[in-house]
Amino acid sequence: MPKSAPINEDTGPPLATGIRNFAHCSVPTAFVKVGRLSELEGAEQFSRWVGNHDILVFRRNGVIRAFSNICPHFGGPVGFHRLTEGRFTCLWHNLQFDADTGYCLSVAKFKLREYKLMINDADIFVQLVENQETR
Amino acid sequence: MTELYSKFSEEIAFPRGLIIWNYFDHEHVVGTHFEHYHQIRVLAEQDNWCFSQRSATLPFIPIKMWATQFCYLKSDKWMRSFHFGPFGLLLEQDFHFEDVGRQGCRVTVESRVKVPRILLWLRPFFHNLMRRWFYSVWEEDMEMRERRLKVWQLGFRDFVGLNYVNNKTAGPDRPDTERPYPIELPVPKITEITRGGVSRPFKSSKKLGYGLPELPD
Repeated sequence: MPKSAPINEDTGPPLATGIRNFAHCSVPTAFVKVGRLSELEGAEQFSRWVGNHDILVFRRNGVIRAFSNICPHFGGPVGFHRLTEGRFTCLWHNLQFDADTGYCLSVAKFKLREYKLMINDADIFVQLVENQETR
Repeated sequence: MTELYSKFSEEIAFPRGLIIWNYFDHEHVVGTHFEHYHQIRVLAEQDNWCFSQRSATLPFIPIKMWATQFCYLKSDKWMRSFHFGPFGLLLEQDFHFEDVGRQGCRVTVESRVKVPRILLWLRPFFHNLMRRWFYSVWEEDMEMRERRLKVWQLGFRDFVGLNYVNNKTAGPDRPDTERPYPIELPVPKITEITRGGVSRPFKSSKKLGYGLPELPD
């Protein structure tokens, strides 16, 4: 795994609070709801299919983030087990992913996509499509 | 000698190629079935056969047991499996895969163990053991097959993922339910399973499952 991997190439490091509060503005249409903050209580993570995306939302050190829940290996659920020692372990073949970077610790070439995320009131939204040009 | 025998059959809405992928994806044994299996090592494998060593805890027998298994695809609708277990016991299994419609399959599993006649009284125990094992593993595999088919129909490519997720572009409007699922063996391996073997990573896990229900539109 690259040791100097950026936390998020697109949005930069997460805000200190971990919550990007967009309550002052309307929700952009490109963002879709993935769940509620209350669904993070307890396990501090959940996953859900939104459209044709399976999204893993988690809170770590007070920061809420969203990764793809689809293991690039064979498509297993990365968030089946609760996050342990900063690592997600895919159920199917035990590939492990760094929760800070999304990089796979088992196979260097794999990396989970991070979705842009925002909070509006108690709802969590993610941006599924960022590049409109090509399918 | 006499024979202990069991037979189970289930019909499912998955293509035969996916079911055979599932049976030949040996790495998932200590992943998907981490509560049953402890370790597995592929000793040799080529095309349509595999020879492996594995340890598991069987129902009703709360101790870890080692076995070696040889399995091969006798035809694209028939897998044979031989488990060499403790005390010289040999469990022979036949898996028959019968197409049902365009995307369905019936799986029939026959299991046999030859034992001295004095052990004939073990028949009900053997049947219950195989039934418990078959259905507990089956249910875990069902969720795996369901998800595998879903991502497959969305265009998943092994070792790559979904292009529209990776590229952050719009995805398909609907799954391609006609995408064929070919039988391609051996299933590629990336872990240590063909070298030192792999172990299950947890003694226990906080299972969160395959995800929350989708939100209403």
